[in-house]
Amino acid sequence: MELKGIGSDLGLGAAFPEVSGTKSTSAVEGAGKFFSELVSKVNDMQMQSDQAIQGLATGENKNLHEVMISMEKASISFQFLAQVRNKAVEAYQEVMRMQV
Amino acid sequence: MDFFSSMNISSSALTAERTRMNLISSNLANASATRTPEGGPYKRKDAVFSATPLESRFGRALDSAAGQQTRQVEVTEIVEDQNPPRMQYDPSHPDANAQGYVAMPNVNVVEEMADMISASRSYEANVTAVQAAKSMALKTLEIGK
Repeated sequence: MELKGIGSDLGLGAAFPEVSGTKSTSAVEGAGKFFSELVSKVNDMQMQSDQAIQGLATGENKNLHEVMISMEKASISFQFLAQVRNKAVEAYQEVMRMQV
Repeated sequence: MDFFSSMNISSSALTAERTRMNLISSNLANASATRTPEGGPYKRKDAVFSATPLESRFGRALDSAAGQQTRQVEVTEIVEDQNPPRMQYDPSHPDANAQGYVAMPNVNVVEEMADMISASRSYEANVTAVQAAKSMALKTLEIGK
């Protein structure tokens, strides 16, 4: 009788098929790139809001509501960034808690 | 980002309502102005609102069908009320004509007050829309918590 190990079609190998095309280096790079892009976009929002406040203070921009809305946009996108960061840290900690 | 487009629409409406409010202030302030740089009494001014397509960063083609139908509002024109001036008998006034009548602006203060209530209520409605969009966005972020 032939015994098949976990590497065969029936064992864990079937549950976790090898995915081709995802190399670890590119994944790390991708995540880093994604985060730095996200941070720079949120930073852009904050800069826009800063400029709007400055414009209001110097009398260049006379629309109070535009400043308030750009501040809200900056705040929401920052909270989104914080939420993404929390999720990433959570995932990292989950991995670190894994028993080897 | 689609979440912010509703905020942009509300922002355009707030700008438009502010313009309307400015015109109402101007009408009320000049309710008895008999002289203008153009000559004659002040004429009541009103804003013409028009719906314009929301300008999008990625062009119209990439927008969803619903996204293409959204319109923001813009004040495209400010028109003068062409009704004749109100003639008031006041011979002692320096702008009185030979019959002793003064041409007063065609501004009806009560009408302006009603317009003002309408403008400030619309403004409030749009502020509420911004707040609703914001709380929707924040509620969405709570999904991750």
